[in-house]
Amino acid sequence: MSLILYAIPFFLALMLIEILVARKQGKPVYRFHDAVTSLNIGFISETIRSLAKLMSIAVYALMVDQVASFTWDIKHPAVWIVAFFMYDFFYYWAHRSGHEVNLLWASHVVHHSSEDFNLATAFRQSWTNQFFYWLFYLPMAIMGIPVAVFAITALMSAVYQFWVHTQLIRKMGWADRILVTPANHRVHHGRNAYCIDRNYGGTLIIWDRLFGTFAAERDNEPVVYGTLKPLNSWSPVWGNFKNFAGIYRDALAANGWRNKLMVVFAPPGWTPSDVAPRPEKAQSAHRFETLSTPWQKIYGVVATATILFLVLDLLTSAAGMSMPLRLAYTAAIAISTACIARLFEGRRHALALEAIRSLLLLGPLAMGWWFHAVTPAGRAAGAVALLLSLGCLVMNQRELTSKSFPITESAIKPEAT
Amino acid sequence: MNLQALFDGLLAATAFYIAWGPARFAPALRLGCLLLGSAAVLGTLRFSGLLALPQLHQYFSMLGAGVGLPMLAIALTQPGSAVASQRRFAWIFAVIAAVVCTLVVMVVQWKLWTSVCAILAALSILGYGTLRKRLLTAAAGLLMLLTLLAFALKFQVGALLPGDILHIGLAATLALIGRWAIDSRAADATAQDPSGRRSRP
Repeated sequence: MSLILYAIPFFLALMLIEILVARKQGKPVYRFHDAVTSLNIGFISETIRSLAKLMSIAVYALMVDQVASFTWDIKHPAVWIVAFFMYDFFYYWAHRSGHEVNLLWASHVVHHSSEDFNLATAFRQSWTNQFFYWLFYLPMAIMGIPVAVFAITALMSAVYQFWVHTQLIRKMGWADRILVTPANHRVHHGRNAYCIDRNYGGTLIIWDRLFGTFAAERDNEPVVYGTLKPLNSWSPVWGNFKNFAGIYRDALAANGWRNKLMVVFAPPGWTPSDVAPRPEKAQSAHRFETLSTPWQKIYGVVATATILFLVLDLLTSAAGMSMPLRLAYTAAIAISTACIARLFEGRRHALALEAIRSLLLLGPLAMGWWFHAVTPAGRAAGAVALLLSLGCLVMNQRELTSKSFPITESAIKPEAT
Repeated sequence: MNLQALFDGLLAATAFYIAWGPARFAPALRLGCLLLGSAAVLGTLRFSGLLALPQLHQYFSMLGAGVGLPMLAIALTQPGSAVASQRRFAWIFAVIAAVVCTLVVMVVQWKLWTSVCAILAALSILGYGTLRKRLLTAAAGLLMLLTLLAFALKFQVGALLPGDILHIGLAATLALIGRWAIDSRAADATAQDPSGRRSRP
């Protein structure tokens, strides 16, 4: 199981502290739907990461074995220092490519799709970039950096990057000049003109200063978070694949193979000369918002906790499962998050569909017909989750009926920031 | 210093001259030469006994053949393409080609891949030069093809080993390509300036 999973309770506790502090300071840092979407995206990304790691670590180890000409003593501190700088340097280029090459942007965009900026945003990790990013670190394998050193350095970098996703820590003086700090990273997540394609660093900001992509946060211009082409959905699945669908559509429409290739590899927003560019949202654009009710929020908490439970179950029992079964389990969890998003978006028949989805997913778990052998405790947990889910959905339905909430497609209206 | 190191050094010097020399050649050409030059430097270090990194030399030689030579071919046969003329796309091509090459040769273990890439690169340069009646291009393609064939057939001349012939042949090919690049830039400059005078770079 991924080591980062052990950090999840710690991360969730920090999130809770951030919510409390923000509330005390009167700062509207969190929105329920956005935070739940971020968490669901993050939980599922861990299951996919565990699959991608099998491939990336295998190739990395092969490269170390066959190409590396240097043997490093893992106990020597210098190895760790060299590995840290090398990892951060290649992270910068991987991340920069993730923003400046359309195909890689399609993979990375989900991390930027939140129009809020808080610790939950750090969870919003792409499901697909794990299949691309590891390629950028192969030079470390060529240099012979051992797999263990590489894996731990990567983990430390990922952990470091969690805390920089906050609005509650202002500028940090000298640290802003050397390290990636919340102030530097806020710029990276902004869609103001001065924020676009800036501050790609992972731990050190020096690479941005070196390669001309650094921008300091401006006190007189508040950062507006999100992307120029907003997601306008709470669906983790659509968030991860929207831009891939766009690339496919654009490549299909483009004339000639050169233009088709350009659609894939040109910077995001590139369009063939014979196609009018799509309008991009102004930086003052409204945030995506939908109606929510108290019981819908309670259901959101129950559903997200269930998703986390399933993800942990998948990761702890993955070793004993076949690959198709593992993929099917991952897909079932991903589809569940898309169904929850439909409810949040107030789509037609979403409540009924969500009830059916809960029955179809949690019913078999409660009965013991699962992807792997289930303990009585697991069955009981499934039954409790099912009952709680159905109960919340019924209450939500009653709430909507009694208050006459207009839960239709038209309920999806933007809210002014 | 032995002959192997000497000829590897010659190839490295020629490749780096194109990659970093005073003339600012097309990005694909420079990047392709950078890869060939890196392999040649590692070869020089290895055969001179200064620093023997045989695995690294082998790996960069693989990239030189599987990525560097196709990049030269693109620079010569598609000079107006994004990969040949823009640094960004040259890098994207290089990274993708390097990953494909690594996966095919090292993971799938199809070691013929680099030979196929190199031969196709030489054939495309030769074909392009012949069809367009461009003597320097055709000569570069022919020389590259003959060099690769000689190496593949383990051809030896006196004290020269197949590896030496490869390095000498590639260095000569690069020299021709460098000449072609200078000529084509001059032709472009003349075309842009109707008075026939060469424009300042």
